[in-house]
Amino acid sequence: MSDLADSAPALPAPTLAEPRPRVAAALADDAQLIAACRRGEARAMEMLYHQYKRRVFGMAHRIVGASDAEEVAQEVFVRIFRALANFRGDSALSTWIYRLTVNAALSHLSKRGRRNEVGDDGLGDLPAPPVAERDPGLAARIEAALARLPAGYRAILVLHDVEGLSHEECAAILDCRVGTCKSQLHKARARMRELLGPDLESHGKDPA
Amino acid sequence: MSRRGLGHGTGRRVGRRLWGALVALCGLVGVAAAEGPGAGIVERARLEVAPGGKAFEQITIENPLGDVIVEGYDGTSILIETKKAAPDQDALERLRISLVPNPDGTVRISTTADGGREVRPLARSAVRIDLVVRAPRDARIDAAVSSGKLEVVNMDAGGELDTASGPISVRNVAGGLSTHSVTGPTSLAQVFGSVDAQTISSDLELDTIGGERLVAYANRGKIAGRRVRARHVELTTTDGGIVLEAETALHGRLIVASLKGDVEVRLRRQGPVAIRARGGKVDLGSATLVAHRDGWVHGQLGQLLSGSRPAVVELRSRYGFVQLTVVD
Amino acid sequence: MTCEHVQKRLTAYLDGELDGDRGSVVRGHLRACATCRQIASDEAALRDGLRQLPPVDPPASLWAGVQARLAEAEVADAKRPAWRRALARWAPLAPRYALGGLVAAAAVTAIWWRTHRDADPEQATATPSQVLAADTTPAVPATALAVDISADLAAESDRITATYAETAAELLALASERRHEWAPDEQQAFDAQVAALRSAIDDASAERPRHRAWRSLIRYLQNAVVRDQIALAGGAP
Repeated sequence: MSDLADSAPALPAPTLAEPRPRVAAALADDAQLIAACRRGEARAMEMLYHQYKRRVFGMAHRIVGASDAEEVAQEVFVRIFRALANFRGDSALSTWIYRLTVNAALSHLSKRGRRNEVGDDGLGDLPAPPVAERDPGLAARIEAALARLPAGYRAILVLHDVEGLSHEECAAILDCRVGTCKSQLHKARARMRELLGPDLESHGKDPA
Repeated sequence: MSRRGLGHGTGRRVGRRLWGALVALCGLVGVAAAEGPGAGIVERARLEVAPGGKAFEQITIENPLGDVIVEGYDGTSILIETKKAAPDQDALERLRISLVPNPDGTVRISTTADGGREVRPLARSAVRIDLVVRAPRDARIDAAVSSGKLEVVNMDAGGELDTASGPISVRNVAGGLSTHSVTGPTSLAQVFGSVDAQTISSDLELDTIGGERLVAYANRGKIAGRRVRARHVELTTTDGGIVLEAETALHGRLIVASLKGDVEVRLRRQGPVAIRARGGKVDLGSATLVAHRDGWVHGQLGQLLSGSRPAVVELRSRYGFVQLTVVD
Repeated sequence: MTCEHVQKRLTAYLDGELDGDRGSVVRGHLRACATCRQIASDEAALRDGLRQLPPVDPPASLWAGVQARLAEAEVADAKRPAWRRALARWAPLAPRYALGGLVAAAAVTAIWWRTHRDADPEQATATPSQVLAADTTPAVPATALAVDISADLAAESDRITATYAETAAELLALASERRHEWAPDEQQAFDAQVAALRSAIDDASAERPRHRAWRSLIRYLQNAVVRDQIALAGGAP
């Protein structure tokens, strides 16, 4: 079988004969994937990358802006794979990855030296945002407004409202108290409403 | 070691012209090796299929003889690894894999066993063909498998997945997805796009589903959903419990119904929600109870002002209990 | 209750966290005050808009970049003297950030080294041939059973159809138990639908459309039996 090794471009390691047990809990699945990544299995590492790439890149994109997002996301993934050996599984893998992402993004911003308060970072850099399912215009305006929020507000808003994490999960990721999270969220939303102003166009159709 | 190409099924001569015009074959290696006395023969092959003019839009795979694994990647070619296993050479020769590209950008991969010439029949359980397909991420996948496993990961154009008794496993897929199985357990994780999943006698697991619609049916089987964020959700079982952790959307609908099973829903809401529920026993948690009418318990979360269109949640079980918990 | 007061509590109210009196006070105010109502609906629309933001796909170069950097790091690992590697095992955790002030700590550079990864260039990418060679073939007994594989494959479709038919029959039996609870026009509608779905099965000319038609019938029956839904819902099986 020696000719197989040289003849084709590097292909992933397939798992044809190995029976894969069906695992009910997400955590158990994560454990298998982590173990495989620790062993350096290229396919597992690629799977982990693809599983989290949108979340990591999305958060990076929304916090640091389009031009630096790739650099930050790259940094995050390098850290993920390097640090997996020491991931103890005391939090969910996703929580850990979100935390790495937020930390890397916020640290990048401060290294870059921009002020964290109302900054113009990202506004000029925003590429044409992906089309939303229901109201393309609104999504674009929301992305633009997000870019003008202070970085910390961006982080909590993306974690809670965009990614859909709970207050507890956000608090775990941002390493703050649940109460702090809630109040930051409230302020972030208020700020967004200001920035969006009449764009929300809800005309009182959906009152609480 | 003899070289073996991929067998083309009978009647596919007409495909050869298309083949030449559209597909650049980039490397074909096959090896047959005996793996020990009495262990049968395993043959592996690898094929790379590059697109002609058009990028591949859909890949149709039919493999009733084993597993199918599809993984998306960032290239334009389709990379296929095949593995055939049979008790002896004659049996191996009956196993056929055919690959037909069409001018409209679709490729069809299928496996079969040719009619046998000898007297002694060959048992289906004695042979296998397993396929691992690395596909361009934007290709739609239409795959059917019998008792083997069907796995699709990292694809962006959805598709239709069908098994008889084999498990279906989907991870990180975007686009409209439709899955059906008779008795194969189905597990869908990280799907962004409309989902339609149906089983007859097996369980359904849903984890992190976003998009416009999620419709799932299990006749005899449980449905377990976690981080479900689709706007319109309908989960139905005849005999089997439903456990769901979901987030309502503005003007969304969440309908969870079972005939004999228990219905447990943990709800994270956005905006006002109008609830109605019926069951052997109904517990709506912290929701405000509004009325009992026609056998339904009506409740609400948040303020329903006239003219508003709240999200609608309907929970029912004829013989089981119905429980709603509101979470943050 | 002033508008300012209510607006401060809107988030909590929308999250369902104001119970009893506090909730009804806010509700009462919203009923009367168009401004606050507008704000509440703006916030609901905002949250919905955020929720709907589509995922952002990274460029393909991202993975390539990650792999390149990991490879570099491994080469660097291999070159480090052993004592440095040992020291790095006890490197401190990356500093954590407080949300409120967003104070920039020193740049995060503490990186954990793998302790058990002695440079093994082969380990990172197991080539397919190695994995294929390593896997154990399941035992393939050359048993002679009565049914040849071709016949078995051909019969598969019928076996599936038989299961569908059995399931449909069970559901029809359940439906006939529920029938008396439906209004006469519903009963008629139900019969008509079932008849239509059955003829779709008979009319199907190939295996896939036939199986699809069976699944449609089963769905419809489940809707009727479990949800009392007689009207045909949209959506493909």
